[in-house]
Amino acid sequence: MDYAIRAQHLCKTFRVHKREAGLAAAIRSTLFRKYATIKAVDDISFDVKRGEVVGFIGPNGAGKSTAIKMLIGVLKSDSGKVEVLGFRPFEQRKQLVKRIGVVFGQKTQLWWDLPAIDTLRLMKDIYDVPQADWNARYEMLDGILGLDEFIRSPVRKLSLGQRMRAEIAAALLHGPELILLDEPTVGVDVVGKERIRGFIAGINKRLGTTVLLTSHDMFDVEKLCKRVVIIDFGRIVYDGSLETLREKYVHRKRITLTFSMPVAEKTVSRLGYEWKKRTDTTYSFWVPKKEVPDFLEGVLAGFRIVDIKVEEPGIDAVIADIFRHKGAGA
Amino acid sequence: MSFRGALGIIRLQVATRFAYPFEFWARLVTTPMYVAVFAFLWLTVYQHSPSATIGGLTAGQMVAYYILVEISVQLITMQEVIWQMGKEVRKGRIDVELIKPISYWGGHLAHRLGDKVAFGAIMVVPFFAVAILVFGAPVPDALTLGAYAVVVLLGMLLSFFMCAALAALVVPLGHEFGGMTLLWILEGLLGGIIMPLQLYPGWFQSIAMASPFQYTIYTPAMIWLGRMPVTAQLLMGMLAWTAVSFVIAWTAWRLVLRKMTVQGG
Repeated sequence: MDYAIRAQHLCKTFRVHKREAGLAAAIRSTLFRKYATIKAVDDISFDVKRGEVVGFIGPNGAGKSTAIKMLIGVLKSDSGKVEVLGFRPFEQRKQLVKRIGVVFGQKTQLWWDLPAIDTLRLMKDIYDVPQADWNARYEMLDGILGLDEFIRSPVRKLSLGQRMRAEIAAALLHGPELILLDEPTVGVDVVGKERIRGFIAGINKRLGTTVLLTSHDMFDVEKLCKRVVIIDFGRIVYDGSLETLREKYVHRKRITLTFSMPVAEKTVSRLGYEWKKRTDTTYSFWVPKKEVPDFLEGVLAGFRIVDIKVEEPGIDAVIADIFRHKGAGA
Repeated sequence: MSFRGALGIIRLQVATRFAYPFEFWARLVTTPMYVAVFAFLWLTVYQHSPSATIGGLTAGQMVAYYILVEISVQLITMQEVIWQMGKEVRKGRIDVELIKPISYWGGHLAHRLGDKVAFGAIMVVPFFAVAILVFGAPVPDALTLGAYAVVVLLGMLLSFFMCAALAALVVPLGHEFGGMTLLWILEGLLGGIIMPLQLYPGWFQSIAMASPFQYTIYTPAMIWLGRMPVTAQLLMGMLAWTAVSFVIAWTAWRLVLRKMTVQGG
């Protein structure tokens, strides 16, 4: 099997300064400092095959970014083994980063005071990209990301969406085999997000680029990734397909019934399931998956129903539940 | 890092320095003011001095010394490295620098060389002209000029590695300000910014002359004034300090990168 990423038993602890709030504590801390050890990444193992698009998700402080930084050689793991495109990231950082592209949604690698095109041209020099290749890639990126609209404006004058499109272009002009996207759509409007998602899906399909995506926007993940790795408190709590995730964690479905006439709440309660009133004639019920056919059979026999809607909770609700350690669908 | 990559960074750094015209012109106007302050001070001292020379320098040579010191500061010293590297470590932005296939230091050196090109080149010519035409600084012969160029280049490397070593202190100290203040004080006192080193008491002069700071400011100025010969001993001293600074900076940064915590996205 050809893997882009192989991480085995990675651990990373940080020592961070802690102090109480207030002026006295601030003064005290100039002489006596207290430290706490934080286990940012705690024995995680996962693989990413070449050509895969994997969602790497978790709440704030879960350890996603730390793990990504170990994958790109910025941080050295305390223990464990990691190989990315056959390189040991920390030891072979320069060789590795030549073949990968990284976008940090909350940090820019563009030159703030200069037009974005200047950074893109600099990337050509830094990555030793031949002019003809650079031209072809720029044309391709411009076609999808619409770079020419803004690329000659100083970066500080760009909207967040435009900046993110330029960041993605800067990370991809050297034709990386693997891209790591850390919150690429953070703060971007709906149209911009759609454009970025379409682009990521496109380069994966057309060029076979492997993608590891971190995002708090579950719609990004749902749209782009067949597989997700969920990390919480530094540990992997799920690694598998989105489909299996739903099957494993979604135990109930939401069924919304619209009755032909108003129904009393007392009558609805007698059905024996958790419910919520929407209007006098519309109620939502949360029914265990296995009991859905019996439930529907019962209500259709007992009431005149004009509309039925059966829904599974969205992936965001499922993941929120996992993070709350409930493990069941809403 | 490839030569092409380094040139690209230098080019953009120069362009950045011209991005805000007011900042550029303000710096161009205010820099000579530092020299003017010292010039007026010393001209007053000379007026009341019974001797025509102080520390072996005439009044004109003394002003020329401060002009040459300012040229050293603009051309050679690299304090901004501490501020930049420190900011990257403190604000967790170092990861953005490390995702490029270039040497972290090489990138910083190229940035600073861009600054030197933007400000140094523009200020150096008028500064030298004033030092020579108004205050009687000598026009060096080709050999002295060559030696001066070598000392400037070595001084740049020496200053860069000293600053990189101090920048590594940001990780344990948590802020770059301490390192920068320390460097300002050391360069001011031991480098000869405040006054020519020969004016210090003997014991302090010995300390200053044994320190690496004199090589980046005092030495180039005195070479141009023709008051310090470029000897093998001087060059060996510079090379030795550059090597020592490099080893300290390299070791410190290896430790920093191993222990670095860049938390958060």
